[in-house]
Amino acid sequence: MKPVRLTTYTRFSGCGAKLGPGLLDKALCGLTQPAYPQLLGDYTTSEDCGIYAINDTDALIQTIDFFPPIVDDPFIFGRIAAANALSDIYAMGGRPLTAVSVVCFPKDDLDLSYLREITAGGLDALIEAETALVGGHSVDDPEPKFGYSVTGILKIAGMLRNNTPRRGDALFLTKALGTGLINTALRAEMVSDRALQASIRSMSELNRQSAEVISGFDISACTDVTGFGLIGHACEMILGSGTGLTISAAALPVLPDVFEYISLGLIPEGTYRNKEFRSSFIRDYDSLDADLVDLLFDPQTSGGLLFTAGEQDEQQIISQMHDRGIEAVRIGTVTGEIEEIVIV
Amino acid sequence: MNRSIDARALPCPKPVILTKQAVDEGGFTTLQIIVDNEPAKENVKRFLTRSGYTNLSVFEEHGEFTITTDSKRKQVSDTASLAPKTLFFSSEYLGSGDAALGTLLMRGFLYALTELDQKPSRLVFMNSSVSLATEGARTLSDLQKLEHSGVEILVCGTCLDYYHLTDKLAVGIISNMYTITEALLEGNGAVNIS
Repeated sequence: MKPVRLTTYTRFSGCGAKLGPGLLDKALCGLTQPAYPQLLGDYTTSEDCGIYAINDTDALIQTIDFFPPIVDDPFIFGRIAAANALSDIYAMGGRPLTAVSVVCFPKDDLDLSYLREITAGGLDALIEAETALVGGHSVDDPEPKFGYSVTGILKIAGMLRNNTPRRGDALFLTKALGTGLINTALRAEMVSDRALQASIRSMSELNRQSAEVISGFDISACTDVTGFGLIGHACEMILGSGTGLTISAAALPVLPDVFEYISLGLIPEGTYRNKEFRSSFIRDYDSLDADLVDLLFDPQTSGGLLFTAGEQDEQQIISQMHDRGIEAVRIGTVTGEIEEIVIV
Repeated sequence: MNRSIDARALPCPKPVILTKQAVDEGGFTTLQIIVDNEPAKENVKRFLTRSGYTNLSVFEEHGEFTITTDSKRKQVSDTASLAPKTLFFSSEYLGSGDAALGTLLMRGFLYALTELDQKPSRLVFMNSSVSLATEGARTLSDLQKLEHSGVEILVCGTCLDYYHLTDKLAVGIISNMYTITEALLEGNGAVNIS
């Protein structure tokens, strides 16, 4: 059997395949359902998961994420898809319990061994997350896609909202940025080995360890960085919260060679959609360095946690992250500039 | 010769790939790329600018963009701008002279590196400089920051062994003479720091 490049089977790169945020708002705007008393969060709240109380103290949380291949190795693709799907559970402060796989596979074009490897990679991550695979559904489709719907459980008192940052808190990010650009460079066959390896390592890593660290601190808001890019998710954080953010460009962790790909024009289409939707939240947007802007809006696959916590906990958080091998950094501060992001 | 590329209806990054192929092949007097969306236009423009083409024009009609360039190309020293900048450290002190001053200067130097926009691509540590990358070193957090921002850190394994520091290494990857030699000779060569 001749090995094939999985990424040649797709038009998109990872979360870049999302329908744009503007489009989604337009499509869903005005759709309502009855106010179920147990429903603590649904699609109207742009929370990371749906939240449904099962008693006074616990809630069920549910999420789904699947996408076309972003890397050529099927095992790694499966692993990344699982890490990415689990991430929403961790971002809410929850514990994943079960997963159902979503599979689109071109049965006539691609050897079945690829499906096996993809599934094996996903299972590898699920086992690390102590999450049971309970089933799945598959469709014959010329473009392969893979991911999971994950169900988890959450102590309602410990729930991490994504839009409740406290003024004065520090803003942290647990993974380096640039996976969208590196995925695009891979598809252009212009990627360097070190960039690809660093990106794969980052995308394959579960956010479980980071979530365990922050569970020991007073976290005011938390989300994970995915398809809408750092600024897209930062915007969701401040919308309706009465706060804003200052983000230090120099502090941003960046994967290797990413600025090279920006200057070569290897920019995912998702970046342009993200910019269009959220650029108005950034102060003096037009005077910012164009390359930096492309990084700020780069759609991430299986990105890190983005969270806010009291400044007094900064050193503790960072050192506990480092002890677990997580390169978390403080990238900014929650301000009183209502719904405005200032890049310094 | 005029060369024209129809990159309409092609997904990103295909228009950039086709443009790159044309640029690599050369032999045109003008090169025209037609795309049908804003991202593709921006990406192709960036690629051409980055490749040294400065006489670009963009013509828009009915949502389609034609990007045209002549063959004049500013010499972009590909190797100069792309070549990795490697810094070579052979001692834990910066410069020769008083050891306390040398220690202080080294700390200051590594801190300054973390503040640079254009960071080196690689740091290589040999002989006593390997201690800078071990547990308890005052320089550790800055080196970790650098590594985190994508700077590759190579630490001489023989040297770690010799100083009994192998278990204490806290940043970078253990490397050997072969890899280090290659790293030092790559691109424009290396800058010796200590």
